[in-house]
Amino acid sequence: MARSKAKIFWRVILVASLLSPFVFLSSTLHPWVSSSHGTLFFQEILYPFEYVWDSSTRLISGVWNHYIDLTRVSETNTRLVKEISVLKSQQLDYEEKQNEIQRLRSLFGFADHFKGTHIVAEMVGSQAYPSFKTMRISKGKSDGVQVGMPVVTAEGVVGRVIRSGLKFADVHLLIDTNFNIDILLQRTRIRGVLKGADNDAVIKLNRRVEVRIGDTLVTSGIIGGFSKGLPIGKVIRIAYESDNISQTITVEPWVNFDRIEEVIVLENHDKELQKIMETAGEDWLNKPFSDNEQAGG
Amino acid sequence: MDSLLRRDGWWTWKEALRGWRPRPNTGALPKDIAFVLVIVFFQTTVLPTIFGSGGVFDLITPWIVVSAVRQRPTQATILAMVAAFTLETKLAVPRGIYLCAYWIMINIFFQIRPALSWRYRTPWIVSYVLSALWIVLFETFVLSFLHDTWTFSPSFIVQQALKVFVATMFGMVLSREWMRIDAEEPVPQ
Repeated sequence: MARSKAKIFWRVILVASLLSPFVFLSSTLHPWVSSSHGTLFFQEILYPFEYVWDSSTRLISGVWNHYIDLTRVSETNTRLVKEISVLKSQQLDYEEKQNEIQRLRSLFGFADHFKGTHIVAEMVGSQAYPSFKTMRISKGKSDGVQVGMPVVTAEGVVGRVIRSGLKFADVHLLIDTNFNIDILLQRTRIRGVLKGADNDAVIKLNRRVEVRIGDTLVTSGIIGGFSKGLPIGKVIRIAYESDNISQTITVEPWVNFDRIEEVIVLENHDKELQKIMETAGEDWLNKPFSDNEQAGG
Repeated sequence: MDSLLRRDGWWTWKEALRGWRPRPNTGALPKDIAFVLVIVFFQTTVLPTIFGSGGVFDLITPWIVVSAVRQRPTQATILAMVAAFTLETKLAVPRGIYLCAYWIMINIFFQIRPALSWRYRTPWIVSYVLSALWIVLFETFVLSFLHDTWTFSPSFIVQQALKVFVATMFGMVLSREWMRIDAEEPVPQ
């Protein structure tokens, strides 16, 4: 009797499990966005091991690259010295231009692009899964990293913090299919929403919008905590859709995601956005626009 | 006979080590959870460092299969959920993808396991191949929802086939102790 009851119980559980994808995956297709200890409990346990593993592999590769495999060092050195002299002369020119822009911006009463502080973090481990792109960095809540903060390198936008543990944080990369960012085409000042697509990113625009191969995309600074004007990538492909209305533009990010070692977490995240996230929950950022609108976001 | 064994420090050390031999069914749930975490760590941290982006292997699925065959349903469910949740909070996968996939998988195993004899290779091989395929197809199904313009590239297909192959091979290594003719039936009665 008890045996048959158990059998029925596990059959009911089987049916429940078969229905679970409808519940889970129909409501949201977004990753866990959290900074709570409960959600990240197992990650907090595993992180020290991950850190030790990463430090040791880094040490070994460092010893190999800096002390053993030195065949191309002299060649690279000569090339870099030449590049530095060119860059020095360019820098003088840029400094002059920057001062001029600053003067003009203050004259017209424009807001400054970026005034906040930043946190430099190292990448820990490698990208685990090629289909779902995320990256772990060596700074977490104890260093001031919060969910929603933008992450960049000198080349451009890397992504956004989606999970923040005590000593680590997970960055959702720009090239992940679940990542969206509001952008501006630098030349024509057209706005749009860029979406990650494997190793590139894509944006759908009206067919009448003028776009050229090589055009640069920058952040619009409107939503998502990214300040205005951060470089994202360049247009590499334009495809007209069969509906005769839209065009799909493929963008190659400036950042080489396979070679990232250090990143900068920008602390000047949107204060207003932070308030909304505190009220509406940390996963507010990832909800579709229509949901947020209904929720009054 | 027991009294003839030399129970010195080395013997105690060896016995303690034997208790910590990594396997999916140690008999103690905390130890099993610790080993599941080790496997997740290997899959998500160690292997990608060694093999680069091409080194995405699935070690968790065969581990969960052995748990689903060998453990009591409650324990196996806990282990599968721990593995799935740890994997989900490490990656940028849509939440619930592995929780659902592994939960369905182990519940099917609970239904079919008493009907099969696990002393033969065939049930194990078929279980590993189908389980790994199930996870791959579930992932691909969700991915195809997320991608607007996504095509199955040959490299993606090769990578997934390799994933299934490695999962099956790893599973066969894990379950070799129950494939002997004198082995005990692994399913708890």
